[in-house]
Amino acid sequence: MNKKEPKTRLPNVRQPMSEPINRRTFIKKGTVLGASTVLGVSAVGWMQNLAFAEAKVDMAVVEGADYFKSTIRAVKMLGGMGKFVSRQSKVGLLINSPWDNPGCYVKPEITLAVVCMCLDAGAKEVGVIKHLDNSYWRRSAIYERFRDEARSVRFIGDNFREVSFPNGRSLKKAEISKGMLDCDVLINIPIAKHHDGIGFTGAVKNMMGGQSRNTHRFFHFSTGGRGYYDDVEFLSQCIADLNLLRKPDLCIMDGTEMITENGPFGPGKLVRPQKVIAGTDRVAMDVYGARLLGLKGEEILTTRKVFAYGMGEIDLSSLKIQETTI
Amino acid sequence: MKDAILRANLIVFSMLVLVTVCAAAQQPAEDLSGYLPEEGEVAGWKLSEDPKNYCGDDLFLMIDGGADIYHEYGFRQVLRAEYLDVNEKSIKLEIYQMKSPASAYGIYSFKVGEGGKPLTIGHEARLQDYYLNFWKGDLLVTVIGLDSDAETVQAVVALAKAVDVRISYSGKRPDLAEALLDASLGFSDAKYVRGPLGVMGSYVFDTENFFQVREGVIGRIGKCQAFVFRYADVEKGADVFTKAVKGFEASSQFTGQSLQEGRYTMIDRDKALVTIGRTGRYIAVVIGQDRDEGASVLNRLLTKLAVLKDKLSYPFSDVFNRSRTSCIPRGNCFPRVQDITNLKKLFAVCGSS
Repeated sequence: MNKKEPKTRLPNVRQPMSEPINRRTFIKKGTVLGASTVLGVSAVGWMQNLAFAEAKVDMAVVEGADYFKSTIRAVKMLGGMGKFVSRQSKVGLLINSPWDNPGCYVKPEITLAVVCMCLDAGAKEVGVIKHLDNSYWRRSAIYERFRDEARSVRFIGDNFREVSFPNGRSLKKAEISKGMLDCDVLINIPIAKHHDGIGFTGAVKNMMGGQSRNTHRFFHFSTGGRGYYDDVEFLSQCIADLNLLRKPDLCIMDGTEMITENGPFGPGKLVRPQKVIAGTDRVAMDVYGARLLGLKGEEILTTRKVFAYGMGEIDLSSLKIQETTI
Repeated sequence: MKDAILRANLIVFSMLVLVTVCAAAQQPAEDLSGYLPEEGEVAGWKLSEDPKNYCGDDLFLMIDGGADIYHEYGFRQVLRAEYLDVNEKSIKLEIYQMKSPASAYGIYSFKVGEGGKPLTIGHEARLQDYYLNFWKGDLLVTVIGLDSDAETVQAVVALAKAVDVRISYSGKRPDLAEALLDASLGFSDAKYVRGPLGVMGSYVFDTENFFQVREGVIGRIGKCQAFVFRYADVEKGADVFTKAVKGFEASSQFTGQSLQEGRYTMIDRDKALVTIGRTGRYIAVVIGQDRDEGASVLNRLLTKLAVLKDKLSYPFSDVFNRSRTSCIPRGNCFPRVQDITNLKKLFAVCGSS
């Protein structure tokens, strides 16, 4: 993706919010910040931005209680949304959102931040591949301030097309949402949480959100299993194969509040690392996310299988992970 | 003549009872909405909208991949309702009807996890930070607050109590759980499992279900993890043991595999010793870092199981039935299993007279 969007359009997330903020005030403040940056008024902030932009960051992790700000900051640390979303592009968001128990869904503040950043970067259209209803947005205290942005999001996941996977070991064809196939930019937005069936769900597993129920059934039952998880080996291989479809242009993982048991639906015990993780390496992000739950990410079957495909790095020590607290 | 009339009446009556029993047995699940507390029962909270009912495989519409564990235990239907206070704060109430009290106890034991505060609601109840589970009869009731504020938690408990008083029947734990969860073995964090998914949450032995789990009790004894699996008969138990040993021999997850005196041992990736033993139709597995403690726990388990032998009934078919249950509109209520049992008793009395 090109870098057409000026960084000054991003909000200054380092400053405390003294007034209710909406996207317009963000842009306004960002413009002022940009001007001041050019004039050298905010030299420290400028140097910090430059440092983030120049150092190649593989994964950005931001810890803080304001998830909206954390998300914007994390993307900024990767170079800003303009690095991933070009003007007039169609953006598809794959959000783990179908549940409503605490720690089971991506916080709407994170989704709202992504939507705002995409619009701000000049996206022509922002669509969701899994349906979002108003009850999802209403779980956020800041929804009213971003109602227009939320309403602009279209559901694009209702039609499916058969896709071949010639290199898939278990999966040879699948019905995939056209919205996921046709979008110019795919942003994968999982939550790192416990899953009864395969132990952990994160960026890799979240790709299943773009497939039809027929394909879902194939993953779970095609080897003759009577239960959804009778053949975890096959299921995990299918998930790995599915990830051959396309690499998400950006992954933003919710590591703020997650269940450590009874996943994916809950309720269950919670951990609250209050982290938002952004990056493009879904394997590394899953390893990181699993560690937040106290799991060994590199031992999770789906992670090992996508790593074997060369889709990402399993050894986090070989990556540049930038962590900050706001 | 009188005898003939009496006999004819008895036959007609018996046929009527039989038809009723058969009809009831084939009926879809009952309406659960009668268990929902009404406005005013819990001060400040009222039902927000029509509750949603999901039957059989429709549970996947509600919780997608989370549904299978319920089906593994034997799921019939769930009623999901939302209660709101004046500030639109929400509490979710879910009433799961399982196929038997054993199923209800099983999914309860699976969901409650470790910790929490036991409460005297239903047969067993446990309150966690922001939610509560209890089971009673063939029902599992889950009440979920969306935060852990004191007011919310208070309302969660009050709603659970209001449901409890509406359930007028009871059930008991499955006999395997009753036998193993007495004080003698010192099980803690115990779960009654009905399939591989219930086990995987505690330990992943393999991805191919080597143990062919259909019933078991798992938990902790001392510092060890302990697993007991029960099979239909001794032959089945022996067959599973043999096949599991073969499977583990080829597994890259374990090292140091060895079979001595009927016990199979191996080391897992955390350097813990895994020991597997069998007696009759039971297989016991103990996992621990301390070799002596592991051996001691396995000995105690096998001794206990050897005493049980065939005293316990094996009520479950080896075939997992995932037949679909159709839904019925709210307001209809069909005879419960207990009612059918009563009809059968009545039929038996008439027949003998």
